[in-house]
Amino acid sequence: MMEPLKAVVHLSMNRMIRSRRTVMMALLALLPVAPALFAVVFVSLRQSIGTTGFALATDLFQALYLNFVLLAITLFFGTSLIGDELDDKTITYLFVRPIPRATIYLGKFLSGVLIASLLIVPSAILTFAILSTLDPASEVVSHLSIFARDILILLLGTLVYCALYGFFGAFFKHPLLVGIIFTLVWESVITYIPGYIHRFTVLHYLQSLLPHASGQRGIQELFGQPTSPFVSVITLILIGGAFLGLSCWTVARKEYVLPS
Amino acid sequence: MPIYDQSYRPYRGHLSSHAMRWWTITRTGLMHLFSKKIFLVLITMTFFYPVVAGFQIYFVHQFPEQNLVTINAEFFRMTMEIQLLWFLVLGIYPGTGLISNDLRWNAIQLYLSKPLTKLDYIAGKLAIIGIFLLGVSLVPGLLLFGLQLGFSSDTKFLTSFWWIPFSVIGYSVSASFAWGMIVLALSSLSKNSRYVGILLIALVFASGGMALFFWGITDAEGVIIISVIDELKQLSYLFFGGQGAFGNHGFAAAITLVFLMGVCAATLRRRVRAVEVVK
Amino acid sequence: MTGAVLECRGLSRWYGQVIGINDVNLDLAPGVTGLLGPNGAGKSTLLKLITGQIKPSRGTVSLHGQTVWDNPDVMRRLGFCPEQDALYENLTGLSFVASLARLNGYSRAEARERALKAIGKVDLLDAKDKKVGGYSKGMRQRIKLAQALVHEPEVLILDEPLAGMDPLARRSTIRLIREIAADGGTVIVSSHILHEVEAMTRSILLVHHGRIVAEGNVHEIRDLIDEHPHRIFLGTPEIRRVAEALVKWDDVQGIRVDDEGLVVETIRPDAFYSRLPGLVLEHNFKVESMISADDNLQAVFDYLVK
Repeated sequence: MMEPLKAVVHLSMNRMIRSRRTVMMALLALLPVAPALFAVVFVSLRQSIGTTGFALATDLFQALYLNFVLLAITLFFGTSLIGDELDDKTITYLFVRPIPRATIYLGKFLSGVLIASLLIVPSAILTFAILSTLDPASEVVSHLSIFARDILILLLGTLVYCALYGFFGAFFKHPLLVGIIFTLVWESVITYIPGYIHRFTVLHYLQSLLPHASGQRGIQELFGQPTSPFVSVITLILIGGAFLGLSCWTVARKEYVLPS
Repeated sequence: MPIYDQSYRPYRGHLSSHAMRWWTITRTGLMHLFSKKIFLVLITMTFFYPVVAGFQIYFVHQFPEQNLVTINAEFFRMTMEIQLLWFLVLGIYPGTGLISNDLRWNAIQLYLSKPLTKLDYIAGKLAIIGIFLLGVSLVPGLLLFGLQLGFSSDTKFLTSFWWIPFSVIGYSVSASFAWGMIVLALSSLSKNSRYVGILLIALVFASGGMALFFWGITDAEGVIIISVIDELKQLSYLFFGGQGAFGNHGFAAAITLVFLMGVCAATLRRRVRAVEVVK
Repeated sequence: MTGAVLECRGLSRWYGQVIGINDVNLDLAPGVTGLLGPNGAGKSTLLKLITGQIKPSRGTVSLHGQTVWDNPDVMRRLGFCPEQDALYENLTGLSFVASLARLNGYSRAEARERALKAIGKVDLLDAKDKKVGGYSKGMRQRIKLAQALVHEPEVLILDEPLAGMDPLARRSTIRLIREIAADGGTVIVSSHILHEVEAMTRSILLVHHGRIVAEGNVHEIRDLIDEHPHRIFLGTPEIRRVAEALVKWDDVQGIRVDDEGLVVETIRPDAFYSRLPGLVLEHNFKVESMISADDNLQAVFDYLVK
């Protein structure tokens, strides 16, 4: 199974890396760098912002990375796993090869996660590096472990959301619409409903893992009691695994009929 | 016995005026969309809040002592603001596919090979999404105003708020036109409608997130107009009055939207072409 | 049937209320088989069933005894060239074919070698390092064929393989298909271009309204179509004399006079051909040409389908 899997990953990566859309997604992922640069320029003009670079980085992480970059990039790559092959009518080339369809999907999923991570993580590192210039070096070093945890949260979020949106792409005819409604309605609106229902959102568990104060303050306001980090990680892995399994099962059984 | 010429003869009947040729594109697009079940479900969902608002008006009149909600200009402005959610959803479907699908299937060349100008094509496409955007803003706004008038036992509401229908019309038309142009311009950027959808989402959420961040740094309320959705929200204050959490920057929002329309028009002019350049 | 590579038993497929393929029983032996039928006949559905893209609603389709649907192993023996003009536009021709070869389980080096060989077979070596997005229509068709050939499959399914090709490329592709069949391969060619299918094979499968209408050799099928007597044109300046002699034969059902000869309608063309030379010599007729007007695929197609 490894050789065909590697072949699928290689083909998918080859396609995605050469695509102009991936370049645009990379620029999208770099959008948070603009406000970070603005903040540094603003301070250098001797305007007081009344906060630290680290606090700005955590706010930016929450506002732009967790609530926008992660969702946009994974929504695009997740729904494209099967969607692009269907739209471009190239899915036939993959399905008439001696590889189980589930393996094909798994290979595409791995390449999607890899590309999404390669776009999101460097952007986050760059943003953190830019905003760290506002703080003394000793403080920056002490915050590195927190930042590393933020990166791991982003990676875990990439994995889970790619699995989720990948399932939408494999199952639904309009995966982007379903993904938007899910993100806007379920992941956002549900958080305002008191009780345990917000534990049925992916965002709750990602927020529960946040190591910095602003995240926890946000949780206390919106989610009530956060879930423990250990349970959050296990739950996220289970959610990701479940949707990945469902996607593989769907792709193996569904008939993807291209119009003649 | 006369023998009639059976060979090809050009059409000599009545031709519709050029001014209405865009309507053919709009009508075809509407018929295509209304034939899809998912779209009908979506349209039904857009009336969820207006129905709730209608019931609010009913309960206000049935149980006035409860003071449930005040029916004033802010009530109608808030309805418009809440319906902006459907602007985003309709922008994604069917908005993103309006021009991108034509690019994918090389259909623009077919359109422009007919006696249609680029303006006819763009107007026809804009009207497709414009009709739906007006349907989720103008129609509920006017219906709710009518409902409130119907339930009112005196002319006090009418004399105080006679201008609301004009504000509803003004805001709905402006916001629908602005959002429609943004969606069309983005749709013309790629052959892949899913990618266009992501660009649209990015525009909305990235600009929103950045606006909040800049506001956090600078404490200046006016930076909120960096956010596209907040521009539309601020525009509502221009028509309905009042102010929100970030004050009233309706005029600045209107100017920004006009500038954005210019950019969209320039993009559409460049991207809608009768030829395909193969590099 | 002994020697059958591809078998279909009671194969049916419907889409809601619409029947795509209806109770098809088929045995395909090695060689080239032309799959013909008008639009909407069920050819694409049949090909999709054979290539495992869709599942039969009823019945089975098997390759060397193995069911095709949900059986990736069968795909090792199958190569498919789809009709859609869809390729990975950003890859070079070589990358495209080599990447798909790797999906067949070959190592990177072997996939590249095989890709070069396949691209050579379709005469595209000069353009192998050019992006597929910049290929002409004929080149795109040939690179599609190359990816179907790269793993040297036993069974080759070609859906409109000659579309967009120039005459030289068509000739070389037809030659290639015949070579594959001569080497023991099984090739199914679906095409609308009847004279090109005739150039590839005499063995056809005619589909209409989801059913197999005719299967086998073109001539044998033609002979069996009794309600349409064979039309044979005889070019002669002695129209009346020849007609007078021919009308006495029992199997001649009709004679039509043309400007330059006669069109004879006969239900037994072989008997006609064997008796005609004797008649010409006996009466010293001047017969300048003889053309079988409808002993061809077009006629079979027209008579059975229209």
